[in-house]
Amino acid sequence: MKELFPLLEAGFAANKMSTRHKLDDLEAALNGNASGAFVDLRRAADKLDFAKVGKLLGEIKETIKLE
Amino acid sequence: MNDLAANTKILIVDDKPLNIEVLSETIEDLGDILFATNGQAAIDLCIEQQPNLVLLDVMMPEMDGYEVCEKLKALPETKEIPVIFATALSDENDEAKGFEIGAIDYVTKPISAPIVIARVRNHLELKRYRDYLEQIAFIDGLTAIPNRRRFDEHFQSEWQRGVRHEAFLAVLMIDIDFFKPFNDHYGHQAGDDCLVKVAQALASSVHRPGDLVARYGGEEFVCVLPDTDLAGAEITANTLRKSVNALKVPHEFSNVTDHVTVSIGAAAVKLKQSMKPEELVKKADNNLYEAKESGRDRMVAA
Repeated sequence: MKELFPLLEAGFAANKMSTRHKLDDLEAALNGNASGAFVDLRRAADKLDFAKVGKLLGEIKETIKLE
Repeated sequence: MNDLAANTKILIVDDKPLNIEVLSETIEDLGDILFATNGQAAIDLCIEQQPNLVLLDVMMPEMDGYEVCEKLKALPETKEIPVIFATALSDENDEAKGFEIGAIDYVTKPISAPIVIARVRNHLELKRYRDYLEQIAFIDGLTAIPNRRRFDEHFQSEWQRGVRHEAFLAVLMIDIDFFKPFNDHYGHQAGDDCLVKVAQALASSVHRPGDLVARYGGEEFVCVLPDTDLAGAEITANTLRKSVNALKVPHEFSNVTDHVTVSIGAAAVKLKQSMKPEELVKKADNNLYEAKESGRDRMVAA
């Protein structure tokens, strides 16, 4: 999970479409945690609102207290 | 996605996410797809990510595609990025306007997948060839460091930048001591090997982004050091000299020591509009002459 977040953050910050493919990995890694925020994140990613995705990623990171 | 495509970035610019999705799915095998939904974001992404190609919508709110293209072509860091317009406008005047401001091609919406794929693929290939040609045009064939042409271009650009900011600029002229006797006694192959080693040692001794070591001609090299006063130039010159000494390339026919050495002339100025670039190079060259005359294997700065 520690390796996945920087990849996702960098990919979404650069508006890279393929970063969305890694969301399945994040969902699996979260294992049901922060599920509400993840649903919002997936929706924002589908709408190509990557600024919101970045914000939600930060919230998820905070929720699961990833160092 | 193959290796070539994996190292390719294509930026799609459109204010409608659905259009981005459609285009992205069409060309996703040709590269990593980036997107922007407005003109300013597109320009920022181009500067930051340096995509290999931009597919640009014309009709967008605030800044339209023509304006984005004009701005990209005006910026030194983005002017070489090829732009293809992807738009619903099909009037030939619109097309002509796109070409006039620097676009390389035009595709009309609704897009035809095979046509878009073929055009994007062709333009990516042309861009690769252009980049390759540009690269070999600026690299010295023997030593693989920048050549005289690259030096001329870089020096001019740093000079102009320095004049704008009234900054210091330093130049070092570097010459291998007793290179003719080296060549005469060890042969041209050994001479070439010596040039390669010295060039690589010099080039790997400067590290700041604007610093440049180039082959000036024959056994002569030149180093450009932006934002560097004479004291800084002296420090770098001595670092370069030591890097060549450390190679310990044997030279029995040198009059100063038993291995290959270099002499360096250093000069630096605080730039002003009234100065001429060639004067700085001449000053460094005069100092190199002084270094040679006063015994070689040394640096002279003034």
